Amino acid sequence: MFDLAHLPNGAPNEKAVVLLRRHWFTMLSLALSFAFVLLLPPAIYIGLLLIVPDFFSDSVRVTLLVLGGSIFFLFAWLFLYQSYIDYYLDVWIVTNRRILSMEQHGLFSRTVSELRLHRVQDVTAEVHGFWRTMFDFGDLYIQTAGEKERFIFEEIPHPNAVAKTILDLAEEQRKAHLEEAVEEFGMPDGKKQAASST
Amino acid sequence: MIPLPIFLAVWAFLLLIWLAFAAISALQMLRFGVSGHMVYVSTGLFMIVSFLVLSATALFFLTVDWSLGLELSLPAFNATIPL
Repeated sequence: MFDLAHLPNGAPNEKAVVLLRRHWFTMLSLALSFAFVLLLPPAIYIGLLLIVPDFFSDSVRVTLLVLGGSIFFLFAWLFLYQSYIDYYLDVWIVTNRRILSMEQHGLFSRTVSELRLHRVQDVTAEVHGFWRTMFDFGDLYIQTAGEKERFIFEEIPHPNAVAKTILDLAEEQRKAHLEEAVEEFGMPDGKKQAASST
Repeated sequence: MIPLPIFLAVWAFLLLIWLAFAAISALQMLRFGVSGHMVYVSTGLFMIVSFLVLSATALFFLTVDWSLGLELSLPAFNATIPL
């Protein structure tokens, strides 16, 4: 586990600005499906009680029903928890220096990518569809000059506001990098010559 | 007749598999989750509900007569083959 105050490979003055996950609406259909699955064992019990009341007079049948129902419920509950883990561990963090993308794929696969803000070239926010428009969530595409050419933030809330934040932070970082480069290496030759001729 | 302990053994085997995946899932969440209350709430809720289901099942097992079994008998039929 890590906290936002101590990010992996963090710089001394680095601070997390935005922590993003998929919008809660993306989990809604999954939650409803699981709610239906989890309610199946008690629903079957009530159905049998009403339709075939003699069913429960046989203790062997009741035992088998309990064995099957309990293991079914436990596995359904486990799959729901794993789906939540898959959602919860997909995180995009924007700091004042870089962008971190942490994506969980299933239980045994995880991808962590990092992008320095001054390498951000272009940011595009897309919101398509009725529900996405109503709840203001969508995808964010970040074009980079790094090894990984494109970062994608999937189904995040308020993508336009996040895009603006990233662009503002990227601009600040580019200015800071330019100032550092000028301090270390001096002005470029063309400007030196122009400065010396005047 | 299939004795009930056979079904219990199958159930126990499936439970072992479940336990392994449940432990791995909880460890992954605690290991990679961003520090916050939802990590603990979700993991705690998962464990508590699982514990309740297992406890209720175990309590039920105490009332079961394990010497019984599932009777498998073919239905008797008197069929007349039309000529």
